[in-house]
Amino acid sequence: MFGGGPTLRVIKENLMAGIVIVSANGLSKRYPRCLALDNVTFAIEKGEIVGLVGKNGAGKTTLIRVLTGVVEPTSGTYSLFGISDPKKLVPLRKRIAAMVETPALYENMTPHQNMMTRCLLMETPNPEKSGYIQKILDFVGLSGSYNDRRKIKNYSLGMRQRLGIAMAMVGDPELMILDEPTNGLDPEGIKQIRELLLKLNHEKGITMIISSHILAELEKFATSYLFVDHGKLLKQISAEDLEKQAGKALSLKTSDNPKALSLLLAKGLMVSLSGDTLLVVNLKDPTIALNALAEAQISLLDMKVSDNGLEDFYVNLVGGRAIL
Amino acid sequence: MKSLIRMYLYRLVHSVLFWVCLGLAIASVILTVSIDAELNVQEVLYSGDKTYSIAGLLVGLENFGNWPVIVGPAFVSFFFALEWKDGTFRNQLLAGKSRTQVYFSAQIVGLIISFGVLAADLLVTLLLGFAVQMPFFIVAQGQTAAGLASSFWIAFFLLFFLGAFITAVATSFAFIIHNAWGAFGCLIGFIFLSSMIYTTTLLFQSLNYDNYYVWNECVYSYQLMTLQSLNFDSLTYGARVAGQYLEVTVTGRTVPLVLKTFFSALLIGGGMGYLGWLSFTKRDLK
Repeated sequence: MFGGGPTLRVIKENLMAGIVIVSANGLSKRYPRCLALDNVTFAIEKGEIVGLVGKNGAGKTTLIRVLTGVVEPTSGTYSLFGISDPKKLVPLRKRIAAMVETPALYENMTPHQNMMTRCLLMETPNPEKSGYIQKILDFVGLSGSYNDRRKIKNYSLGMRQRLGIAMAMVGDPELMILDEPTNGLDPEGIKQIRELLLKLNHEKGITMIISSHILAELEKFATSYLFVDHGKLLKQISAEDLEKQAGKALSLKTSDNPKALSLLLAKGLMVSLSGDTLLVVNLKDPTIALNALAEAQISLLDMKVSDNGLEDFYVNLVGGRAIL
Repeated sequence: MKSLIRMYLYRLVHSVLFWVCLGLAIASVILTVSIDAELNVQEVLYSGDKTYSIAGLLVGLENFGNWPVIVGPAFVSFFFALEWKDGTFRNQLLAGKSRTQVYFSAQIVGLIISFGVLAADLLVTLLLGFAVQMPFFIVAQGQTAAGLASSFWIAFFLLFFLGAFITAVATSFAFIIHNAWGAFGCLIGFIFLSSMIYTTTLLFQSLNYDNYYVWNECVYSYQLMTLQSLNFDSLTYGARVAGQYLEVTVTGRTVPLVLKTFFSALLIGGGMGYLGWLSFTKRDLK
């Protein structure tokens, strides 16, 4: 299923042009008890910030694991930077940084030592003398950690997330894949991580795939979305198109809510009743609902019109089954 | 692979557990040498035969026992299995390294660690042994004997070979069992099991030499015991002949023992090494 995303022909053209950074074609992953990924096809272009949206167990983390080489797909292929040969993909992973679920850090080492292990792996020349480690720690707001002798096991979740991002930045990656990077952070921390990711995208042109449960947060910086449910890719859509397609939401209080509810449902609209308020979502034209109520002589006591958000769009997409 | 090895060695020197293990290994050797040296010197002085070699004197200290050979691999199993706990194998794959490169780098670093611990132990044994025994040896006018010295070097080589074999098994367990204590427990279980094979055969003293006792030479616990005393030219076994218990000594066992040590270590160590590689390259990581 390819939803509203580009066609295979467009993907091939973009791959040839070097615009596509990541693409998947019929990617599936079967575990003994479930099909975690089911024939997923998509393409991500250079410089995009892609929000990977789906409820728990939808297949987001499995997709990230496959792309990072932690697990092998059961069938299908994927390419990174235009290369899909599994053997040639191995050295290419040096150009990717990833944080899968939790940052992979040595618990019994200090932040500086953890950074050193990453620099040694990435063969960074003179990371200490050149001030490379200090620069990255400054960038993620962990300046004080350079000389901190505390071990990672004594660090807070927020500081670990930051250090995870700092480690991911070693070697100047071209693609960052982050699984729940704001998990467990306080509102201030979430804001700081968001600003940090935007800074990386704008200043260094890093393409990003970010999975998150906090859709309102994702909405603030994602340039496109991949919606996943039950291992299937439901839709790939740009933020711009989503805004157009999501439509409006109406919040109504009427003289006869039960009658209004049945009437609007009969018109094929997405309506729910919460207390004394009717919520109509995914409306291309709000006047359709208002005219129907007027014709039925149901008077309006209160009305608010707003844009549909990412969350409403996702709920509609999965048919109201979503629990994020 | 060079960058992986450098990273592992960096981790090693910053591991408190490594220095604790090395300290314990050296401390145990110092303790044993201090106790055994006096007994050994007394033995030489009062034996009436003053043709022991210096190497023979040192081997007589019997410090090439299980402890120095096992402490390195035991640490190795823990050291690599901790990568599972911290989820850090992912970082290595994301540094453009293949799983085969990660695995063989770990095997190489495992050998470096194991040989390092063993070499440190032997060095302490030699230095301390010389310091304690030399004055007595000179007074007793001891003379060198070439035969024992050559045996010493064969023992030295086999000891490192056994160390390499157990290390390969330890590293393999670390990659098969995705848990530090689990990998460590499997290694201890493996060592215990092979020791039990050796011990159990000793209980059946009426067993025929050709059928059973020669098999002991394939078990690394027997090989270690023999290396400790440098007495690997002869094999003494118990046998019941016509209802009577007899101790029989067979000589000329050096070549068979060396060959068996070499091939059993290659077979079991290589087999376990292959299983570890297969497990790491074919299974999904967490």
